[in-house]
Amino acid sequence: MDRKKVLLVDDSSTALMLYQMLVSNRTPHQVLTAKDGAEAVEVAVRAMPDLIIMDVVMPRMNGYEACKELRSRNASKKIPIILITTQGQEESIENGYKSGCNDYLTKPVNPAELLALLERYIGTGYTGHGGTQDQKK
Amino acid sequence: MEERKTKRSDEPYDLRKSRQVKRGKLEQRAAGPGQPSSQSASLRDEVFSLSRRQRRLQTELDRERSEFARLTSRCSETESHYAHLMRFYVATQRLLDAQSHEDLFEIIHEIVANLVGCDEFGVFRLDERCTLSLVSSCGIDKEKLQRIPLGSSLIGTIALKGDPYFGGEALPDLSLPQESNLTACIPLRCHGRLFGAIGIFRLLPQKVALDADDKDLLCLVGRLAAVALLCNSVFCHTVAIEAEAGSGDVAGNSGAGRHSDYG
Repeated sequence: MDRKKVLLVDDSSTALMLYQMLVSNRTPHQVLTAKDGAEAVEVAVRAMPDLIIMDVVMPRMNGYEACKELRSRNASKKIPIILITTQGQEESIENGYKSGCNDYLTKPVNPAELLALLERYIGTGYTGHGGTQDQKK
Repeated sequence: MEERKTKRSDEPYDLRKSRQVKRGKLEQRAAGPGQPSSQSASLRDEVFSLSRRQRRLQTELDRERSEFARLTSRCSETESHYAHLMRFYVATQRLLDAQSHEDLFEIIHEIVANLVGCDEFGVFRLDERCTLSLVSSCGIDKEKLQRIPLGSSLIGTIALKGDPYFGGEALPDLSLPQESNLTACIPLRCHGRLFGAIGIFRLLPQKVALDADDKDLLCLVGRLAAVALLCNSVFCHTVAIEAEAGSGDVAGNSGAGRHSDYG
C-alpha cells in the first residue's frame, strides 16, 4: 500500500487531534496539518498532498476561499478536497461544490464516513471487514 | 485403449454427461419403449445424489451467510465502540493539556462543538459570588445568560444539585425564557465541589439527539474539566505560596510561571 500524504485543516486543535488520530491509526498515510485556509494553501503548494480534508469555518481564510484558491493554482488544482461543514443543509453543501470541493462531511465527523472517503480517494489499506488488504494478501 | 480411457476421464464434466445421456437414449431405443435402461437408472441415482449434495451445500451457504451477517454487525459495533473510545481519548488528552483556566474553557467549547456536535451552548464558570458566569458560548444570546445565580433558574438549580440533566426529566418549573430549549446541562463538579456548568440549548441540525455515547462523553468532560480546574487552581496556589516563601520554582521548571490563572 502506497504511503500517501493527507493534509488536515482545522482551527480547532481538538478536531485536528481526532482526525489526525483517525488517519494515523487506521491508514498507512502521512499526516500534514494546518490551522487555517491560508496555511493550508501554503502547505498544499509546498508539500503537494494527495488529499485535503478541510473545515469550512476558520479564521484568516475559510474553507471555501481556500478551496477556490487551491483550484486556481496549477500545482494544486487536481488535489481532491473534502470539506467539513457544520451544517448539512443544501446551501452550505452547494457552496462547497461551487468552491471546487470534491466531497463533504458534516460535523460531528463520523469516523466510518471519513474512512470511507479516504478509501474512495486514496485508499486506506483497510477493507472494513477484519484486517487490511495487505494482510489478506 | 488405455490411452483412450485416460483421455475420456480428462474430458470436461458436461461433455461426459452429454455422452452418457446419448448412450442412455440409444440403450432406451434398443430396449424398446417404456423399458428403463441401466444407464438411465444410474443417471437417476446421480441426480438424487447431486440434489442431496446441493441441499447440504445450501445449508452450509445459509450458515456462512448468517455468520457473515453476524460478523459484519459485530464489526460495525466494534467500529462504533472504537470511535467512542477515540473521542474519549481526545477529550481526556485535551483537557489534561490545558495550561490555564481560559485554555480549559476553550477546550470544553471545542469538545462540545466538534466531538458532541452542538450548535447552541454556553460554558459557565462559578465565581466567588456563587454566580455562574458565561465564559464561552456559541449561538446563544450572551447578554441574557451572562450571569445565573446558583440555585436559581434551571441551569442554576441543576448545577447546585450536581447531577447531569439530559432533557425529559421532571424538574421544577424554574426556567427562564432563554432556557426554554435547554437540551442538557452538565455541572463541572469533582469531590463535591462545583466549578461551573455546560448548558446545551441546541444540537447541530443533522444530529437528531444526544445518544448514550454523547451523554457518557459529556459526563466525562464534566468531571475531568472540574479535576483539571481544581489541579490548575492548586498548582497556581502552590506556585504563589512558594514564590512568597522565596523558594523559587515549585514545579522544577521554568515553564511553571505561565500557570498564572487562579481559580
